[in-house]
Amino acid sequence: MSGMHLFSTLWIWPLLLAALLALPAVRKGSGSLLVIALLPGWSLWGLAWTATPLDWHQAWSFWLLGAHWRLDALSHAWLGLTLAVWTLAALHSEVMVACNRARYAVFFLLSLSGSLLWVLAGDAVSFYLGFSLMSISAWGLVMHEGTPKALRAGRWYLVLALIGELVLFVGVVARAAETGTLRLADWQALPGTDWVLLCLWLGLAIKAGVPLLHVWLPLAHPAAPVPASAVLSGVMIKAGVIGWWLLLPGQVLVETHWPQAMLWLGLLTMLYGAVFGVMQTDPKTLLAYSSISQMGWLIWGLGWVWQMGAPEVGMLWLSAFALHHALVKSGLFLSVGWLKAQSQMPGWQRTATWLGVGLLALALAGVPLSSGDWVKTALKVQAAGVAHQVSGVGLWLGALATALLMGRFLMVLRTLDTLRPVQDAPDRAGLNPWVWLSWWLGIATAWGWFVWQIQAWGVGYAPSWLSGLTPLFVAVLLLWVWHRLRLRGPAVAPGDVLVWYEWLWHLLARPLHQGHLRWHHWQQSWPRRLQTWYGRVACWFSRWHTRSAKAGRNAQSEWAWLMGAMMALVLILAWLLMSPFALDRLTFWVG
Amino acid sequence: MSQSIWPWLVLMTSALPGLVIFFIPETRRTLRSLLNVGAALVKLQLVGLLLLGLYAGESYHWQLPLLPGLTLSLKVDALAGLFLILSAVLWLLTTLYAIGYLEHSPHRSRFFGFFSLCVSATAGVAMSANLFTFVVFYELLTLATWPLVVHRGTPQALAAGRVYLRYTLVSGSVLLLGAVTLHALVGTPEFVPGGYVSDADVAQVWLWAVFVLLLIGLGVKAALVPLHGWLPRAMVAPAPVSALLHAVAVVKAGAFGIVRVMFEVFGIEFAADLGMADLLLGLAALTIVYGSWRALFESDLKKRLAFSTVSQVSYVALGVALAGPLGAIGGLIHIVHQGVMKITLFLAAGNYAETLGVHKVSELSGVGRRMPWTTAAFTLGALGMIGFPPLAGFVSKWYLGLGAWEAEANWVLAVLLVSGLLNAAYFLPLLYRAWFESPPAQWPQAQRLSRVFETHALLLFPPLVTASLVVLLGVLAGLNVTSLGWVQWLVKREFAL
Repeated sequence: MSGMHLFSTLWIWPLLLAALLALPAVRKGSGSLLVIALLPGWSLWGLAWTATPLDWHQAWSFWLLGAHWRLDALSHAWLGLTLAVWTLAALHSEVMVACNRARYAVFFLLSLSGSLLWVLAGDAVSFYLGFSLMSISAWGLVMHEGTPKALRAGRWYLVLALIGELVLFVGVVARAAETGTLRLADWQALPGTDWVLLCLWLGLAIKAGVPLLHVWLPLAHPAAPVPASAVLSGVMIKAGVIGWWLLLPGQVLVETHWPQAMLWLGLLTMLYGAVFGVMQTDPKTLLAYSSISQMGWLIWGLGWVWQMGAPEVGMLWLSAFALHHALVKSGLFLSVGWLKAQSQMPGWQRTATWLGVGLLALALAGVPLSSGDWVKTALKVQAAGVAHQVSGVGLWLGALATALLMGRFLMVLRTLDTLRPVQDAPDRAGLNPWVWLSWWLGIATAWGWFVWQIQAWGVGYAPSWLSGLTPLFVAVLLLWVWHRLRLRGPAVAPGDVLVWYEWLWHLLARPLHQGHLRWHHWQQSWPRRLQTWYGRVACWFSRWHTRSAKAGRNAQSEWAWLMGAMMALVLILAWLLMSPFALDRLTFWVG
Repeated sequence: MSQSIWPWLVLMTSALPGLVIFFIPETRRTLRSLLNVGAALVKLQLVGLLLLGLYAGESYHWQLPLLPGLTLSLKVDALAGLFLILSAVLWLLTTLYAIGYLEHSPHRSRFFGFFSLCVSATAGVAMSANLFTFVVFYELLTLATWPLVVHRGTPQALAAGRVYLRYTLVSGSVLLLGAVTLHALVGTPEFVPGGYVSDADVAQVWLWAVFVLLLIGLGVKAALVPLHGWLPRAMVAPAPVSALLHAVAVVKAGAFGIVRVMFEVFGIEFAADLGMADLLLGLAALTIVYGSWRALFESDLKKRLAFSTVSQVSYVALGVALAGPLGAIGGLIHIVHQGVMKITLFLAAGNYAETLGVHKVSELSGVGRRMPWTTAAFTLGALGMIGFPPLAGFVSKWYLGLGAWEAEANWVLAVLLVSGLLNAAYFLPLLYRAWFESPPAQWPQAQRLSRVFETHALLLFPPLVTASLVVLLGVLAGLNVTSLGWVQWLVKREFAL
C-alpha cells in the first residue's frame, strides 16, 4: 500500500475547501472545515509508518516548472510536527476566534496548504511556492483582529515577509541557474557561489527570527489570534531553519566558516531573545521572545550538524528538538488563550489549566525527564564530539536563558490572571471540554512522546539531574531576588530595534516623497517650456505655410508642423536612397 | 515559394467586418454584435488551425512585390503565432466586454469599426515578414487606435489624443527613417533568425545609427523611458480600449517590433557584440524601476495601472536584451503573460468605474464586498504582476532570472527584486483596501446593471476568464500546449539549438 497518491491531495484539499468558502452555505461551518482540511495529511502520515525504509517520490512534469515531492524519515517527522500544531490550532480556532470567521478560515487554509506543500517539497520551486503561500497568507491571520495594534503588526510582518520572499526568489533562481537543476538533493551536494548562498540564507533568516531580522515576531504574536500565534511559533519559524537545511549545501559547507558562524549566531540568538524577553510585560510577547531564544538552539544545532558534514541523523535530532518546541510552545500560546477566557471556566478547570501551563513551562525549561531535557542532553552529548569552545558554557547560559524566560512568563501570566481582563475574552467562548482536552493531549504528548522515542531510537538517556537543574535553580534565585528587591528592569517596547527601523523609515520617507514631488513638478513643467519653444516654431512654420499673418497656436499649426517634419524626413530619405555617392561619401566621412 | 492565402484570411477576418460595421446603423445592435463576435470566433478558429499547422511544420507565406527590392510580405511563423493567438483570444473577450460596456453610449458603429481595424493592424504587425511591411502595419495601427483613444470626445480625451498622435507619428517617421536607411544599406530582405545585417559590409556607425532610429521608433509604442509620456495620458480612453492598448495592441506592437529587430534583423549575437543589447538592457532596467516608482504615487486607478504597464512591458525588452535563450524565453513569454494579467486588471478597473463610479484608489474601500468576483479577478492579476507563484508572472520572472545568470548580468536580479518590491508596494494596498476596509455608505455613482450578478454579465465574465488564464498559464506551465511550451519551442528555432 502506498500513500504516494495522497501527496497532491494533501495540500490541494485545503485549497479546495478554501474555494468552497465562497458558498454562503459552507461559510457557516467554517470551523469544522479547518479540521477536515487536515484529514488527508493525517492519512498520509499514518500510512507512511507502514513503509520501511520510507522513501516515497512523486513527480508532476506538467505542474509549474515540474514538481517533485518526496517523503522520507526527515520529512515524515516534519509532517508530524506540522500536522500536530495545525490540528491543535484548528480545534482551538473554533473556540477562540470570534469575528470574521470565514475570512480567517480562508487565510488559515491557504497558509496550511503552503505549510504542507513545502514539507513535502523535493524541488526548489515547490519549496518556494509552499513557503511563500504559507508566509504571505499568514499575514491575514496576523492582522485578523483589525485593531491598530494588529494592523501595525500586520504591516511589519508583510513588509519583512515580502522582502524575505523576494530575496529568497533571487537566491533560488540564481542557485537553479548555477546548478542547472531544481532537485533539493542535488542542491545539498553541489558547491555554490557565496552571494547566492547568502541570498538563500537571508531570505529564510527573516522567518527564523535571527536577531535584527526578528522584529516582526514580537509584534505579530501578541496581535494574532491565539491559534494563529501557536502556528506562527510552532511551524512557521521552523520553516526558516529547515529551509536552510534543505536549500544550502550542508555537505560542502564543512570546510567553510559557515558552521562556525551559525554556532555563534545560535548562541547570540539564545541570549538575545532572553535578554529582551524578560523585559516584556505581555505574556504573548514574552513567548515570542522565548521562541526567538529557542530558535537560537535550532540555529546552533544546524551549525553543529553542518560541522559534522551534515549527516541525516543529526538533522533528525534537530527535528526532534523542533517537534518538542512546536508542541510545547503552541501549548503555551493556547494556554494564554485559555486563561484569558477563564471567566467562564469552573474552578477545577482553571486549576488544571494552571497545572498544564506549569508542566509545559518546565518541559521548555528542560527539567530532567521532560522532552526538553531529553533533546538538549542528546544534543549536548552529540556536540561533545565537535570540540567547540562555546558548547559547554554557551549551552549552560542558553538553558539559564530559557529557564529565566519561563519563570518570568509564569509571573506575568499570574498577574494577568489576577487582573481578569474579561473584555479580552471572545464573545462566544462557551467552554468546549473536548477542545480543552485536545490541549491536554498535546501536553501529554510532549511529556510522554520522548519516553517512547528513546526506546524507538535506542539512545541511552540518563537524566542529567545536576546540569539539568542548576540553570533552573539559578533562574529561580535570580527572579526571586529581583522580585524581592522590587527591581524594575528597563522596559523595552516589543520589537526592540524596531524603533530604530521606524525612525530610519521616517527619516527616509520624507526626502523620498519630496524628491518625488520635485521630480513630478519638473516633469510637468518642462513640456510647457518646450511647448513655448515648439509653439514659436509652429507659429513661424504656419505663417510661412499659409502666408497668413494671424497664426495662433491651434491644432492646424501643429498639423502643419508635423506634415512639414514628415516631408523633410521623406526628402532626406529620398536623398539617401537616390545618391549612393552621398552615402559613400558620408560613410567615408563618418567612419 | 508558393503563395498561401491564410495570412490574408487572418487579416481580413477582422478588417472586413470592421469596414462593414462602419455602415451598420447605430440602432442595429444585434446585427453588429453578431458580426463582431462571429468575426472574433472565426479568427480564433483560424489562428488555432494555423498554430496546429505550424507545429506540424507547415509554413504560411504570402508576398506582393511592389517595387524592385521592396515586397509586401506576410508570413505566419512561430513568433507571429504567439502574438496572433494572444490577440485573437483577447480580442474575442474584449469585444464581448465592449458590447456590454458601451451598451448605451453613442457612436458604437464608429467604435467597433475602428476596434476591428485596430485588431487587424495588430495581426498585420504580427505577420509582417519584412521591415517594410512591419512599418506599414505599424503606422496603420497608429491611425486605427487614435479614434479609439479620443472616442469619448471630451476635451481631456482630445488632448490625450493629440499627445498620442504627436508621439506616435513622430516615432513612426523615425522608424521609417531607420527602415529606409537600413534599406539603403543592406536592402529589405525577409526577417530571418540570426538576422541579415551581420553579413553585410557596412560601417558600424551606420548600423548604430539605424539601431538607435529603430529603437526610438519602436520604443515610443513600447513605452520605454523617456518615451513613455503618452501612455499614462491615453488611459482616458474607454476601458476596453485601454485594456486592448495595454495588453495587446499598441505597447505590444512596440515590444514585438523590438523582438523582431533584435532577433531577426540584427541577430541577437551580433547586437550583443556591438553593445546594442547592453543599451537596450540598461533602458529596459531603467524603465522597469522608474515605471513602478511612478505607479506608487498615482492616485488614479487606471493611471497607476498605466505606469505599471510602462514597467511590465519592459520585461519583454529586458528578456530580449539578455541575449541568451533563457532570457529570451522570459521576455517572449511575458508578451503573453503581461497581456493576460494586464487585461484582467483593466477590465476589472472598468467594472468598478462602470458599476460603482469608482475611479480613484481611495474609493476602492470595501469594493471586495460589493463586487467579490471582479475583485477576485483583480487580485489574481495583481498577484501575478508581483510574481507570486504559481501564477503566470512568476514563470516570466523565473526565466528572466535564469537569463540574467546566463548572461552574467547579475545586477538584473537586483532589478527584478526591486521591481517586485515596488509592485507589491503599489498593488497590495489596493487589495487591502478592496477586501478589508468597510465599504462607504454610498458609492460615487452606482448603477444596477444585472439582477443576478454583481455587474453586467458581459462585463463580469471576460475578466473572470482572463484571471483563470493567469492561473492556468502558471500552474500548467509544464504542459507543452501552454505558453511556456510554445515559447521554448520557438526559442529553440530562433537560437538554432
